[in-house]
Amino acid sequence: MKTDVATDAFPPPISWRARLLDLGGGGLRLGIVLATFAVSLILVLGILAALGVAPGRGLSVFVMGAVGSQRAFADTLVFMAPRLLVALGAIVALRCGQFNLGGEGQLQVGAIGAILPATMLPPSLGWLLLPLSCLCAAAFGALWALIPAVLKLWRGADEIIVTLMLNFIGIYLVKYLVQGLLQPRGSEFNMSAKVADGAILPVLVPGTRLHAGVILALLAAAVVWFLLYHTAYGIRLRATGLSPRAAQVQRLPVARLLVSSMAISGAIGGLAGATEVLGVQYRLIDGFSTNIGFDGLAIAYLGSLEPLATVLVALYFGAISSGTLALQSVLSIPGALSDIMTGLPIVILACVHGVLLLKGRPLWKSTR
Amino acid sequence: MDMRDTPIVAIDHVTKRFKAHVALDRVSLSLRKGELHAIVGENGAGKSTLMNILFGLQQPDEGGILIDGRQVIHRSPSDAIANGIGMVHQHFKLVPSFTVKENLCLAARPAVRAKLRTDRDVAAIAERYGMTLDPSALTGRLPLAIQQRVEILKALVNEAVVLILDEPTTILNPREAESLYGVLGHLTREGHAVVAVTHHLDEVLRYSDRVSVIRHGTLVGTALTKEMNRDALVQQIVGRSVAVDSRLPGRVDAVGEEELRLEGVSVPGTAFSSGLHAVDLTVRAGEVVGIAGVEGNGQRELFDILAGLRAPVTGRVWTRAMDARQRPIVNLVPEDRHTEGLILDLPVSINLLLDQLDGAAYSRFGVLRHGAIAMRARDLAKTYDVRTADIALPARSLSGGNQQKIVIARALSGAPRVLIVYQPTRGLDVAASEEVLARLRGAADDGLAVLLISSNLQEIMRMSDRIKVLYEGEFAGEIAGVDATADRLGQWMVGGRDADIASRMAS
Repeated sequence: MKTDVATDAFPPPISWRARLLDLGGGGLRLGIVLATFAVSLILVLGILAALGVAPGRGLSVFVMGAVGSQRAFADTLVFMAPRLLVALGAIVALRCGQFNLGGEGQLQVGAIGAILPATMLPPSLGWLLLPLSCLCAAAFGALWALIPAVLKLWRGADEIIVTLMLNFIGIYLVKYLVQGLLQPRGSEFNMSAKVADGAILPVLVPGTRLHAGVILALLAAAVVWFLLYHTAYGIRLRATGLSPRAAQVQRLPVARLLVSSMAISGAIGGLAGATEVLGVQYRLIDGFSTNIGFDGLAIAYLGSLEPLATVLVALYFGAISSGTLALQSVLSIPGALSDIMTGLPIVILACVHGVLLLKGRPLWKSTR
Repeated sequence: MDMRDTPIVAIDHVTKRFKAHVALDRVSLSLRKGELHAIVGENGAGKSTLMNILFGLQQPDEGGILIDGRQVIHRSPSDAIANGIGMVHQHFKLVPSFTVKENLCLAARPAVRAKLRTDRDVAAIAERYGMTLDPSALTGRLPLAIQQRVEILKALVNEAVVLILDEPTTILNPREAESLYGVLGHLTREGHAVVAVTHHLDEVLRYSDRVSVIRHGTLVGTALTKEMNRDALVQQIVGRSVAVDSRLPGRVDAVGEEELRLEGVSVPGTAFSSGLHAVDLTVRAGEVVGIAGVEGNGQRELFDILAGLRAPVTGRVWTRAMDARQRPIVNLVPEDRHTEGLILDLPVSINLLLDQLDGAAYSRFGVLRHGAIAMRARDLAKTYDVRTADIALPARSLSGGNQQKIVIARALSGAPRVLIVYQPTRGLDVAASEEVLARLRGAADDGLAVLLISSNLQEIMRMSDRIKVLYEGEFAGEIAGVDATADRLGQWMVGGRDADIASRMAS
């Protein structure tokens, strides 16, 4: 056989873009995420400058407010806890291919579940009230998430729409209850009675707001990680999310996985509601959640749907919440800056993801 | 070399490395005006990488491309398209909700978009290349063979002089394949160079002008097809000789009791398939029953029913053991290993044992015993010759042949009684196909009841003890494997009945 021979070889034409993309793997992904946060921070400092705040001063107030003192760091952790829990809940459903966008609703209903035993049962039950309230919150959240799961199985209803709509039903349910059934007789405020002492998540460091819900959230991250990577259930759940068709052909119990993943997801979301009610507010208050549920979803995606990476992202979101609170009180910067700071990395990453998707190298694999 | 056969494109000493692995090692290849150039080689030999480099999807580490003797650099497919190179991928890149015309407009470079203003323009262009197409048809509703024509047209409206086709006939039935080569012949007569990457050696020998063989990233050589024959080609591809025409006879004495029975099974048809109409079938232990037929004549429904993915509307399926929901218990080698056989992003080890993770051997109280899983998976990988650097790597990282071996290993390792095999060698190279078929035949000889559903007639004839042909959802005929001839089966496959054949023979 004869080979065609052409002219001399010439130097390798490799663009820097090709080199960058060829790095591949987790390192590149982590690098992109970190770079995104850095770029967001620079943009935010620009906004501060436009508001007439010297960037150096703004940065120092922000950092002091987020991690500058024991109390500040405690606040960061307290802001982190419910967001982390919602994110973990979202991860369980998303990794099974179920688009549970109902974290906010599950959190609201979970808060109702927590307040019922905490205010209605006899206070004499003492510390038993805490686990009871948490369990009840988880159960309420799970039931709330089961609605879309059952509708999907039974009638093929799209869980994206149903979970999204149930958020608003949950928010208005709380609004309704604190003006009615749960409002103490004679009270004019839209809030429930105070929870019994036994139901309160204990404060871990006196003089700060750091409560045991933070431990609960961190434990939950470890449990979800273990569930996904070290149990037969977790493997089947991920297999279903990665390839529903293959899961069906391999006779995995797809319907059962769908329902149970949504229930677990909702239960963790419900616990997030419990940490707010039993650890921070001590009452059920109309509007107690400032977008925690939606933050949680963003955190889950920024953490690449990895439970352990998500802890770091949630910590960052917690720091933004407490840092912008300081900016608000010290420098009178509008609180909306917090939304900008959480929103910017999401927008930037979505753009990067879009570009990489066109290159066939998405930052995240579609779980659908 | 005839001086008139000037190359349009020359691939010049191209080397491509992925980390330590050399995917292509100084490969040089020329494409001439008016030739159909077949590129053959095993899975993972580097054929696709070479084509991706030509089309700008990947960049070479060394070497480059010459077009009309001029050096070019293809940083992206748009560079390649601008230089007159078009590619039809194995998986089409069409917008299913767009019409044919809209898809063409979407792909067309701005400079040529004006030529596609009306449906009539589009139809005229199609006609020029010997195709009949309805420009206003929704692409997603068209049969795959027609969608492929749209892909070819996409390249042609961009004035491609070189057309690359990656595994173009894998999704086609024999008649559609023949018709495709008709179209390609039309193109070469008009002076286009057509490159076909394929595993189907019969097609190579029948239709191509020249053939290049790639093995382990190096070019073994390029030759005029008329100077080649099948055995020589196989020898060059594999690097040794492989017998591929012989029957794989079963041990007749091994045939035992009935293990699988279908009685009057019916499923309604769809636009793409005839469904099944009152089908009866039995498979006994130790025998391979082959189901031949052109795709779309009920094969998918037959597989789905046996896999328990859907229930028959009437009739029943029986196996010795049935599961809690009265579905037959069978092991499966599904048609599409990417979407049905494997979870590509999970490790090889998990894929090997996916159906057994619940067992006490691999999990305790639901917690995985990673050590036990790894040990068993390594055993299975060794037994079934699954070649991977590490069983913890995702199944995606393996070549097609090794991926299929995972599926086969899982299907055979759980001591099954009945095995349903659907297109087991689709997309596999010669050596991998032989290994898979030998493995299945061996399992049947050990007492497994095997139902082989395939549109590959040669595979059916070589493997089966009995052959049945599906035509429009019914069995057109049955014949013992040793008595089967391609003619007889071919007649049944296109709807001929024995009576027709007999009368035609008499006249």
